[in-house]
Parts: sequence; structure tokens; C-alpha cells
Amino acid sequence: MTAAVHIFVWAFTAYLAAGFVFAVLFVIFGAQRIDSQAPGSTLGFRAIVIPGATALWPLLLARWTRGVGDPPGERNAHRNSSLREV
Amino acid sequence: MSLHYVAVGWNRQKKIYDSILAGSLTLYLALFALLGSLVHPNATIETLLIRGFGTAAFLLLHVILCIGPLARLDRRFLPLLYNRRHLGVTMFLLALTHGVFSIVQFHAQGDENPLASIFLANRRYASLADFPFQPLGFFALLILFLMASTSHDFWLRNLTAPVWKRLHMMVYAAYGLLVAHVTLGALQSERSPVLAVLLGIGMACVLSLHLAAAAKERRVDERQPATGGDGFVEVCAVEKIPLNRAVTVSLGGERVAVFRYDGKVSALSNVCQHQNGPLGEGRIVDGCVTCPWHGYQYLPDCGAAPPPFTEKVPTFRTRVVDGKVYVHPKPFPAGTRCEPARIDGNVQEVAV
Repeated sequence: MTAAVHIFVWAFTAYLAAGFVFAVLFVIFGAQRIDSQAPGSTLGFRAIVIPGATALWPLLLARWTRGVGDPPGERNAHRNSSLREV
Repeated sequence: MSLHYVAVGWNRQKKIYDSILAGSLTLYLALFALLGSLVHPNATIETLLIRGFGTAAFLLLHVILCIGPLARLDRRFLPLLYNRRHLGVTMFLLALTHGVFSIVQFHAQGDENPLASIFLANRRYASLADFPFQPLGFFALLILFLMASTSHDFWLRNLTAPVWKRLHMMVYAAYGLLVAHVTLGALQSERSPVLAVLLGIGMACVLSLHLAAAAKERRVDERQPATGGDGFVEVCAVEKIPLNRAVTVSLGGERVAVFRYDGKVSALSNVCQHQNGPLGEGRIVDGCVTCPWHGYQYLPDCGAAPPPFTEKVPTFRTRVVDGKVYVHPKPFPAGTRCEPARIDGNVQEVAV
């Protein structure tokens, strides 16, 4: 059990450390590449996004590397149905 | 509504809301420390702080969980919903302070990594009475961190509202973990029944309000409108829709909000693009359908936010025949203009 806990703690710390480095780079260079509302946003906004980017960095990295220009469209029953032909 | 992100979209209401929150929490912590030092004169200041921040966070979590169903049951609670995300972030900060103080107090003095010590200091996982309750609090804190750190509109837009809402439904998992954390932790060493009774009351409030709100929502969705031969379904008599307000009906797997305004009837998907708030519970303000949760606005005939904003919701064809309102269940793509149905003659207004 001790070994499993140490592996978990190491992986957890490494994930967050990598995430923090990514998050700092993301808020400086990446946010405006994946979201059209990000350019011109305040310094406070960029600081407030860092914790979430640290937690969800694989998602943002995937979107950034794919060069996605804007967030995905929302999906729900009405939106899906409206896009289907009669 | 904004075209660029800011850290916090302050306005007068939010400042009042947050001032009351900060004042209440300061008062609570001061009273807790004062009463705690009187009832437990041997308790250290560290212990009082750990308990004070922990109970404040847990109490605030109950308030947060009750606001949603209360607003569904009674519109007068809607103002509390308006700034609920600030409550959530504040609750996380209180819980984080509790967690950090606890780790420093109980796990930072030995040779073991403090994080590993949370899991290894007490290994009686097979015992109910001595169960290591701290890992439960750790995992609850992780969930609360994920929620607090993704509370900004950037995340709402980038995850999309349905995914964001599912992520934030994890608060119920965090609540379950915290109930176990308190029950297996603080309650085990407590001789007075006061804490157990308070916990029971809190859980009963959360559960009963959710059940009552769910029953109310189910009644709305169970109403099955009659379908005509041309596909249009009858919703209600025109006068059943209050002026500048809506009646909602379940069509196509989601609710449709049917608004009456300026002698016309228009129908929009009930789901606000911002946080999926119930548009049908909002009003028409300045010619726009206005979401009751955060004030996002849409033009009733096309479901698009007025320029320069970009939010859009699907629209539906409407018709008024012999004083009855009909809606076609096939939605148009979000932002598509639909000619509103004209109401002939006067409508007897109903009180709202």
C-alpha cells in the first residue's frame, strides 16, 4: 500500500507541476488561439484561468495543438434536432 | 454579457452580495473562535481555526446546494442564484484553508511526505470506528478545486454549458465524501449530540428540497400537448401566457419557452446558451427575452442576442388559431428568424 500511495502522490504532483508550467504558457500565448473572446482580455482574467488550466491542461493542449480557433458548439436535444434534415 | 473576458464581472448587485457573504463569514469565524475557546478552553488556536474554517465551508456547501432547488420552487430565491459561483469559490477557499492547516498540523512534522501521510498515517481502512477520514476530505477538496478553478465563463464557453454543468454536478460526490468525512471524523470524537443533529438537519434540508424541486419539474415535463395533423402541437390558450412572459412545454426532448409580447407569440428553446438557465422563467425586458439567472438576452423572433453579442438559441414556428397557441416541434438552427404569430383581438390579461 505504501508503494501505491507514493506512486499516486508522485504522479499527482508531476501532473500538477507540468500543468502549472503549461498553464502559464497557455494564458500568455495560447488562450487567444483557441477562444476569440480571449484577445484583449485583462491580466486578472489570465491569472484566474491558471488554476483551471493547471487541472485540465491535456484538454487545452490538445485544442491548442490542433489549432482550434474557437470553442466547440453546444449540443443539446433542440440544437441537434435543428441541424438534422426533416 | 461581455465580448472580452475580465477576471470578475463586478456590478452593484455582486458587490452587495459579496459584502454580505464576507461579513457573515467573518462574523461566523469570530463567533466560532470565541465560543470555541469558552467551551473548549484547552483547544489551541490552530485547532479552533481548523474547525472554524471546516464548519464554515461545510455550512456554506449546504447553502449552495439548497439555493438551486429553492429557486426552482420559489422565484423569490432567484437573486441568490445570480452569484452562486462566488459562493462556490469562497466555499472552496474556506475548505482549502481547513485542509492546509490540517496537513500542517497533523502531517507535516514527520519524515513522510505530507500528502502521502494523509493516506498512510492511519491505515485502519477495515474499521468503521477508526476509518481514516482524512483521505475522504482530500478527494472532496480535489473535486471542489476542479469546480472552483473552472467557474469562470471562459470554462463555461470552452467546455460548453452541458459539459460544464455535468462537471459541476460532481458537487454531489463532494458532498457525499464530506458527509462521510465529518461522520467518520469529527462525530467519532464528539460526545455532545449537537453536531450529529445539525448534520442530520442539513442533510434532510438538502434532500427534501431536491426531491420537492424534482417533483415540480416532473409535473411540467409530464404534460403532453396534443399534436395536430400538420405537425403543430397545441400549447395553451393565448390568455394563459402572461404578457411579456412565457409558458413552457416539453417538445423534442427539451423544453420550449413560448413568449407573448406586443400582440405576438414567439417560441425559443428554453435553454440559455450561457449556463443553460430556464429562459421560460424569464421576462421580456427592453424587447429581449432575458434569462432569469444572469440576464443574458435574446431577441424573441430570432433567438439571437442583440449585436454585438453572439449567443443564439434555436427557434420554433408558432401559430395562433381561435385563441389557441400552437408550436411546431421541429426547431430551426440557433439564431434563425421565425415570423411571430399575430394575436387577433384583445387578450384578457392574467395576474402573474
